Amino acid sequence: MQETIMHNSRELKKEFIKKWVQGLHICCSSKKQMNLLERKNKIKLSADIALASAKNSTTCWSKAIISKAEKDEQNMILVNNLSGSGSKFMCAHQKVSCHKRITSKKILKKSYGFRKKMKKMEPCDHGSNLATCIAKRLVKKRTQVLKRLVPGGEFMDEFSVIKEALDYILSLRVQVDVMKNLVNATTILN
Amino acid sequence: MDRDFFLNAGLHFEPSSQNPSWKLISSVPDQSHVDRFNTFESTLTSMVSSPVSNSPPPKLNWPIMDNLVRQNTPNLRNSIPFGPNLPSLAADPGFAERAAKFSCFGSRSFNGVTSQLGLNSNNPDLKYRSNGSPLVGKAKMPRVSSSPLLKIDGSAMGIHENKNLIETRVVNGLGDPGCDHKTNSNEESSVSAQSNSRKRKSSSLKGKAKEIASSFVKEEGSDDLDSKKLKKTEDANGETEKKSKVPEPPKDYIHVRARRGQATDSHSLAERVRREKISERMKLLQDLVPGCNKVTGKALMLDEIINYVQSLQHQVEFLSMKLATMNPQQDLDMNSHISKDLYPIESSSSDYYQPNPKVIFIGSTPITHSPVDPLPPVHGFTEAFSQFAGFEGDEDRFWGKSRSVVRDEN
Repeated sequence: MQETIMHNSRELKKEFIKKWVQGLHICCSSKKQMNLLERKNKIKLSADIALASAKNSTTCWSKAIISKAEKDEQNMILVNNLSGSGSKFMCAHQKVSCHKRITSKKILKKSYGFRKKMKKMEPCDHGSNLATCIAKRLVKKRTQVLKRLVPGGEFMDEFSVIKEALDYILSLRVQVDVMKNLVNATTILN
Repeated sequence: MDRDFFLNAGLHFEPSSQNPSWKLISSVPDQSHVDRFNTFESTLTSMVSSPVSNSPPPKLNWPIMDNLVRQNTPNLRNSIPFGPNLPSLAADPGFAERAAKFSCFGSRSFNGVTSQLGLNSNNPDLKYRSNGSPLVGKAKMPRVSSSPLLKIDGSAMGIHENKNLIETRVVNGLGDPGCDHKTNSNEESSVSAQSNSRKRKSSSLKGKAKEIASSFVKEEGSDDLDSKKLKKTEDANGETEKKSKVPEPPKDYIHVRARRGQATDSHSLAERVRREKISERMKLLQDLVPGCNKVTGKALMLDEIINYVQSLQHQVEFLSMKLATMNPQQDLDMNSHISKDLYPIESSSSDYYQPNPKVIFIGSTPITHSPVDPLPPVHGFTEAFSQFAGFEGDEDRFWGKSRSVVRDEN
């Protein structure tokens, strides 16, 4: 298991570096002056998109990142060049399905509120039930937080959030690795 | 076959910290096998045959073992070179009988258990169990020696009979204040724990075995030993149970068995499947997130995961900020090295990379002509890429170094 993870991360690293170099080029081909914050944002954005496109639309969170970036008009060039035409189609499709999911979720949420009221009417049976209630609530809160952290997580159910988080952690690690090495290299260069 | 059982039995007790004598077995590499076996034999005799009355003799034997153990602790996990000495073991008829009795605890799947228990995070689980059920453990001892089933050769006993044995013990002997020998109870509890985990392995009896395991874990030593009630409480406390111990191994997705006393409607079955999927994923995440091996329970695990993701994201932010402030040198010569140096990284995709050097080269020329701005353009990073690629010279070393950097930080 560890070996496959290492292998995958190696592949991912290569892809990521490739795309990030491309992205950085595109970023600075615009000759306007940027202040520090803008630069940092550009760098981060290019890194994120590069990471997401390196995944080749295999995971939900990567699609979510790309679709979020596409909404901003400024980033269109960057996104288009990095991700390629295939994922654009995927993103469009994803947006539609996301929209449907959002509306259906709204309906569900309304019914949830109603169901909760009904549940509260029931008396608590015994002590252990209280403990389970508390535990469940804790878990629920935490899954909500996790959903907010993982890009695109709000639209997923609990199980897929955990799966996506797995993948996201791996890719974040790759990203941090590469960036760290770059920083080290530039410090050494200077 | 007794041989194997005995071998593996010795191996099995290795993880239990309360039984240093058992560790000895797995680590004996040298010539004094026979001596040690004799001592081991005697302890086994004392433990198996007359637990209640024999409190002093085992204690006598164990100090001897301790010294031997200390010598051999570095070899704990090595293979057991028992081979040449086994005939002497098996030759002893009394020993064979004892081994049979002993092997009833784990007839066939000792092998699976040892590999499972020796090497991974079930250890805390084991310890939890062995600590958590001394009462039950104690209760078992009298049953072992007295039950007529045990006289039969251990190999003949399948897991079925084992389960029946232990089930009867559960029913009859939970409140039994049998022997109060601490070491025996520990050994027995570890045996019971081991048998619990072994039962979990057996797919056919998984459902029932889990009930028994959970009953041990929760010390349901109540007088009401109706198994139905146990299972019902287990069902109700499904979530807390999952939090109290390490997630169980995942069941087969298709063949989900409804346990006795549990509702068999599709909802609860689906619930159970869903829960197990989640716990399986949690287990995977445990391996991924550093420092998560000791954490059990969904809420804590999720906590750790959230912290880790947040820390990684902050790191990305920080690093991108740092990169934004960096001041890489402008050097035209370096750009020509880029294609060469980046090849080690892109060894698999070298064909793809052909057009790129031109792009980089073309892209970099405007920089040298344009006025130098206060903040360095991002182009400089391409040199940095080349630098840290060519830095190691070798791809494998490069990746190793990057990994070690991360590890140091972690």
